[in-house]
Amino acid sequence: MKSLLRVCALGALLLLALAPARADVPRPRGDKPKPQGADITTQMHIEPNYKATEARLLIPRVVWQQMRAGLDGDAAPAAGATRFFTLGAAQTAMAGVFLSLAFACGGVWLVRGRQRPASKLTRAALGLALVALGGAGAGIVYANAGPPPVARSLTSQILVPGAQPYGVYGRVKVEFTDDDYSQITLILPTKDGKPGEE
Amino acid sequence: MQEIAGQFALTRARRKQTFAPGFAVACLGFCLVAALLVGWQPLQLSVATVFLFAGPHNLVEFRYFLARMPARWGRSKLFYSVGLGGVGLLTTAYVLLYALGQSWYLNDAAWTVGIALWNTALLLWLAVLVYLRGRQTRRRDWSWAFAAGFLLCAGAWLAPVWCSLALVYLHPLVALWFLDRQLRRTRPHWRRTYHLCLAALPLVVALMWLRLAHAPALPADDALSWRIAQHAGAGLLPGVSSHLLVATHVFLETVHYGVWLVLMPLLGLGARLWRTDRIALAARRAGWRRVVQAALVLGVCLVLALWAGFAADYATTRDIYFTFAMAHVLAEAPFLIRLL
Repeated sequence: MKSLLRVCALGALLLLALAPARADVPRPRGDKPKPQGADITTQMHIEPNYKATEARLLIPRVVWQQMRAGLDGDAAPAAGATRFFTLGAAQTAMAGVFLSLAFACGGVWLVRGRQRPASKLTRAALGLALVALGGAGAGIVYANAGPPPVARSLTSQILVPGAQPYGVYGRVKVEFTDDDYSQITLILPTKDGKPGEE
Repeated sequence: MQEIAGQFALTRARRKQTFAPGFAVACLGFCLVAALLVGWQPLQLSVATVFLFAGPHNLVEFRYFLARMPARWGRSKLFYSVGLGGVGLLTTAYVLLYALGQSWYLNDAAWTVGIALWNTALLLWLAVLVYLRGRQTRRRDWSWAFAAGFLLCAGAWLAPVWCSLALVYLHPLVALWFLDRQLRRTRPHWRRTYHLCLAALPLVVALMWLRLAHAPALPADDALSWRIAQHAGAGLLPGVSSHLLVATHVFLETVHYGVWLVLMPLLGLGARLWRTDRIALAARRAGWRRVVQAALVLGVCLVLALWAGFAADYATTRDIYFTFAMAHVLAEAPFLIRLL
């Protein structure tokens, strides 16, 4: 009983010591802690509009509320969750390795299955289904072919060559909208106010 | 003529035996009422259902798993060792990952890799369990589990966060599978009715989606509402109304709680819920009677502590609960696979 008490007391002491010890650990990087909760990732659309008379940045209220709510608390995992299908090189490599392993194991299973004639039909059906699934996947990939690469992401490539070294700047009216979609829109007036002209 | 009439009467009697209208009406009625209420006030019902039912449903699940656990593992020793060992390791890793994610030790990229690794470990663990279960019967060749597991692992690396979201939505449905297995044991003549109810469930969800497809996004003025919406995938699906996402998730969770808190005790455990003499682990002469009793009492204490925590600080307790609740999500896997 006495030794149990000692162990408990030691455990409690260790737990008490943990908090200051953790507080003394330097931050992984030397920079200031970032307010993680305020970061959100969302879509942006740049829209040339011949009816517009001035540049307007439309922020949906939903996005604004998410940013405000994110500031209320630390939401690191949630911030991670908002990352929208960003694929790193390591991710691609690992996915490739597992895909290869899946095909290898599937093949071994099919070969082993040849010894069981009763299940031949099932395996053939499964093989056909896989091919059909792959074909459908390829169809979706091509059917979704979007605009050219330059128009798919917001980089300096969308600027005219003359503006590349400096960027562009000017006045913008910031407005909040009640749209349901979490997409920020930047409306740019076209030069002469005519459709299709920049 | 008499023979035909006799056969007709027999068929009618058999149909009566294989159809349980009371059960069907109760199930569908519950689903419809839940869908209506949840579609109306998803945030409030999310808070209320987790507050009231999260703890008790874990306790009933724990009691069910205790009852399913054989006193001697025998030929299943490897299966249970891998199963229960995996539950412990994966839960610890998940809690660690969450704790590191809350601090500034993990940046976005490290967090993504961490989640992908955890998902991979989970999928491979499931594949091994399925394979081991298949090995227990000579007629079965369940080595396809590895091919399927690796394929899912590739998906888990391509879209790690989507994999986690899939777990959020798929976990409530596992309870329906447990219920099917339980009906097979105790009320096999109700299974046909149950399968009809299961077929109606996607219709209820589809109706809910039709109603809420254009519903305005839920107000995310405070951290709790924002977290509930993020948990349901609002951050990943910006084009979908967060009202619809939260409602769908809360509806599935409500069905999950309904199965574990109402149907499983009624159909399987009944009044034996608190009797340990029917638990194989405790009933044997050299059994762990006191350990089992202590575990159940501890379970009740944890439920009470959870309620007290929710009452004191709902948001923090909810976060802590959902982190540690991963243990019960994982524990379902070996017991369900064992029932196949």
